[in-house]
Amino acid sequence: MQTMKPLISLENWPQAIGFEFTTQTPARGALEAKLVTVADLVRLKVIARLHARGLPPEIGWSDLLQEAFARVLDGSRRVPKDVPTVAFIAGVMRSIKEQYWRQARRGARHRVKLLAEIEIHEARVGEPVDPAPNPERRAIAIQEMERIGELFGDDSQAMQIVAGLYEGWTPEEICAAHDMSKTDYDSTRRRIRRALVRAGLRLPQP
Amino acid sequence: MTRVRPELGLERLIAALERDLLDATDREIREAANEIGMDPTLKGSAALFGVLFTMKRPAAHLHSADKSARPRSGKETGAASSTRSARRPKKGAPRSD
Repeated sequence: MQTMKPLISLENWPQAIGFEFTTQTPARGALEAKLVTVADLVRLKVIARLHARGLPPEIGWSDLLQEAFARVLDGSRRVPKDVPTVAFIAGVMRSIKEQYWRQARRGARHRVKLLAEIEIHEARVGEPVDPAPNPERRAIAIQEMERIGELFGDDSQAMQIVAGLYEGWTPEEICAAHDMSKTDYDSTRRRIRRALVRAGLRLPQP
Repeated sequence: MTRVRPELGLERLIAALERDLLDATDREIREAANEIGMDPTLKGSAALFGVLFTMKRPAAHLHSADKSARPRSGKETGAASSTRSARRPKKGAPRSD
């Protein structure tokens, strides 16, 4: 009886299905240069997945994260002395995302297939920007809010906080609107944080 | 959630959650990872898939005309960006050529 030859070699399966596997990533370079710790990388992975929620599906969170690291490593983005590296890299991701949408709005989307081609002029730290109205961005936002809702669907207090943050309310306003104590608010924010980390680390579902 | 433009609401939410994550202690991050059986400190941990190791489609695939065959990129594959193009030198920077 003739044995069938496997279609894919298990030893190098990424290549066999047309993927390239690499361990030489900008993020690894940053870790080796001691710019960040392993915990920082986990934190940034979760943040990258958050930011990618506001982008079209063809722009992946990993692309966004690696591009931000690449810019810091190649010196095109310098970390200010008074800003923690992790916060700065998060700001670079946000700036790349905003620049992507600005270019898309100008009808130049066909030119921004590679994030490396997007030039940013400043990296904002911690400040949300007011995005210009854009039908595609709006549709993505509605879809992503539904997905975020599914994450916290069985936690009513978490949903109240998420809704309050969406509206731009302060913690005090959220507590007042939902008759929530400061202790409840803090413990719910902690639950939200942990749920985000868990969701951010899970491998994508098919 | 009806008064706010969805794109603005999402950005506000992302910014708030980002601040939360930046403020979280290393211990809290580690514990959350452990809850799903991941230990980021282990070599090759899945927690760092897409970060310290990635799989990507060759650049040629990105330019394929058949968009429908394209996977959802890094969101599902953890793909890294493809080859970086040469960056335009900053204003006043010395040119290498």
